[in-house]
Amino acid sequence: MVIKKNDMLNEGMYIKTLSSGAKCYIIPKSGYGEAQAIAAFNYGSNDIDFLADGKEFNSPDGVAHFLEHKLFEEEWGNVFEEFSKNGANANAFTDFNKTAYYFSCTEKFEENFERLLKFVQSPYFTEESTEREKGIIGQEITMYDDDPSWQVVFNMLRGMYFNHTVSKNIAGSIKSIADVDKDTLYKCYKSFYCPENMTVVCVGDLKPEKVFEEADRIIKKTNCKRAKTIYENEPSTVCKNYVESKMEISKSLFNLGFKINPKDINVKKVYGIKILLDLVAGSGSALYERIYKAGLMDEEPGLQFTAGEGYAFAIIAGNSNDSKKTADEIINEITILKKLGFKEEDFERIKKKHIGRFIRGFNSVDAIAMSQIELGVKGEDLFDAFQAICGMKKTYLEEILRDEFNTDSIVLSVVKQ
Amino acid sequence: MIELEELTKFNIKEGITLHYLRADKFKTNVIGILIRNELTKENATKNAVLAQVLKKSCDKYPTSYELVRRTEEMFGSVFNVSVLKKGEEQILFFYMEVLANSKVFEEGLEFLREIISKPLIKENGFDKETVEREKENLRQKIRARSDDKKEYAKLRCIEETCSNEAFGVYGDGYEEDIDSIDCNNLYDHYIDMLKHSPIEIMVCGTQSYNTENIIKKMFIQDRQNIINLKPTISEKRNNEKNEVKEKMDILQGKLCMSFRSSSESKGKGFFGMLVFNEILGAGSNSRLFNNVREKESLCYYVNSFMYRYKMILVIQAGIEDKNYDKTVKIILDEIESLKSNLVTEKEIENAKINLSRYYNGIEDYQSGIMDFYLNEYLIGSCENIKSFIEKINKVNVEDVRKAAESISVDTVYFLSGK
Repeated sequence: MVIKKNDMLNEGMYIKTLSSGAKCYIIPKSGYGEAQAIAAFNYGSNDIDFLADGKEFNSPDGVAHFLEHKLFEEEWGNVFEEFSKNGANANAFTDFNKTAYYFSCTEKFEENFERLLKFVQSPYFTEESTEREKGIIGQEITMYDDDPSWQVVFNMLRGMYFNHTVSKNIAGSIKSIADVDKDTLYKCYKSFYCPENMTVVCVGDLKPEKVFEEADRIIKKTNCKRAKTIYENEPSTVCKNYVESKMEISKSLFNLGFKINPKDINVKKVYGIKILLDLVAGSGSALYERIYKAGLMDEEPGLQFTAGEGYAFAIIAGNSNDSKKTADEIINEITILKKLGFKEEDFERIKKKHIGRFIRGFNSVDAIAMSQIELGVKGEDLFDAFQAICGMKKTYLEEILRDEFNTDSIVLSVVKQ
Repeated sequence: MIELEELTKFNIKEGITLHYLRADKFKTNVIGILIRNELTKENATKNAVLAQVLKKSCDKYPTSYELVRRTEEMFGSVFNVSVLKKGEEQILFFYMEVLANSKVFEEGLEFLREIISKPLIKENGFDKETVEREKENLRQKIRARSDDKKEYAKLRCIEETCSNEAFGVYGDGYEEDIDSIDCNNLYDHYIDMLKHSPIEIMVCGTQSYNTENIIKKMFIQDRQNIINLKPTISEKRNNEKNEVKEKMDILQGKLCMSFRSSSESKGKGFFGMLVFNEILGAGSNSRLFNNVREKESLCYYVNSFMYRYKMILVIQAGIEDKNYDKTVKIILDEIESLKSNLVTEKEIENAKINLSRYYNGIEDYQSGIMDFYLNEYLIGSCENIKSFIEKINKVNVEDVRKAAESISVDTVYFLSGK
């Protein structure tokens, strides 16, 4: 067990690799009424083609998400109800590289924690229930198809990636999920739901030794070894620089995507790029002031950076009546900043902002748990992240801007009326 | 756990009270400044524009850009100005969240002092360009009210239910009242408010010894003839139910029904209503969910909630137009049944578990804590979170039946497709 402390945050963290191979992070929050536990598996919508038992398997798009839905069903009934009866709120989500199951409660933590760990180890899939789920997931897919804010992102990704599976809809398509059967679900479960592929995060007024003991007792060691996901080669260039879609929307929505080199993206680079984006286009930036005064946007842009195995992209997003002009302004600004670098006072101010906001994140059990699971599946933790932010240097960010933000590897995705 | 003893009140000036909620577990201090006004059609729009204008600039930071940069400089402090509707009050609400470090907290308080006491003035009025731009922004916002159909149906239902009462006034104003607002009359209105409105200041976090002093300097006007705001009262009308139907270009019909209760907004009757509402329509095990959605497949969503200040209970459902009569009948029958038949022990137990979890969870969020205490204060109830939950747990099946008995339908509003 490793005990980490951070004096500036005034927080502690307990980290242990359990006998089964699962990794467990506990962040005690004394005086908090609510506790939250998350169990996540490093298996997401990207893991479509993989090597298991020496053989290649091609699963339909959207299986990881499908599996997430079905795991809540047991032979005796639905796990959601059991959580609810015991004062807990349970949920789950699937993203590009992981599936996470979690609950929060103000009482009976041990009982609910046991429930969580047990149900993710007990797959129960039948032909009948798999068929039934297709209708429900079909409705969910349609809901996302109707949502401009989802469309604008995935259109951007499809313009950005030639081969990488990150451009596929997380839930798949109605066509792809039609091919899912119970054998597929079992196959994918056995290939990826291994303890060595599992990360557990617990946050709240908890006793770490007790939680570790419980987790160690309930998570069983297996012979399972995580399958190896197969990716095709992906060039650094993009397929299309511009993608447009028409939908029922009052103000046009845009995503300006930057394809970033996915190699060696550690926690320092992740937080560095987040700070960099804020410097370039955040609410206090000269660029945003120009864009706002020109009437191109009336709300600050959304800024995002996402990375995983074989993919990394940054997005500057927002509503604008002239997305092309706004995108040009942003690209021009980046070109200028590459030459001139950032102003010292701007860098110091934004660094302070990110330090303050990170500390503020520790107010919330949910924010801590969700941020830690994001880092935990990559073997990193929040204290690493905080140290990276505090030690951030202007020259490092300027280097990233020059080397990684290539104006050829940009995709502008627009959704308009 | 926040105990009542941890809540202390200080009188700052005539009609200005500082409520200090000590909470050591958070990383930030939150300060809320609430300038309380009567909710009237005459002033609702003015107050909405005022909040927007005060948010964008002040004398020291005359552009939105400079203002934002100042908050970033203060370690990413969060700052906002908005209008809140609490019963029949419209409150101008200044919100600031700063790191709990005393130095940064005091910088945050000083920032608020600049915003409140030294707005950007040009020739005895607010900056004209700012006012005109914010009037236009509000106009767009009001027009977009009908974008969220579910929300719109709810607003219309309340407007119809309370057509002769202040509660029916929109919290963010009316398009037709925007044009008459100008930079001078808006400024006069603000100064008036600073002189005569009761003001509550809530601080949640760790105290700084200088807090009171800086706050005193925020309010430089002579304070006299402080307005005496009447508490919001609920009234039961024994009228026939009022049916209102409107059409819009939509696929799914939005049903919204209001019910008046004769129970008080605090005390035994209130807690009975709270548990009754939970059983009736607050979760996935509720009567409405089971009988309207699961059994009859009539809707995708159905739920109930309460406007505590007016003791009005609202039921919402998204249904197909053709199922209007059937749905209304099932809902009214369900309520009739709850008036004469007792709920099961299991139902009341589950309701209490859900409510306990919700209210226990509030203590983990400063904004939740502040809102809880503000409501208790404005309503004249004196619970802390612990005693509130204790009272919930004391509710029995007869209390729930009495709560059902206390309600009667007021308005049935239906927004259907063309």
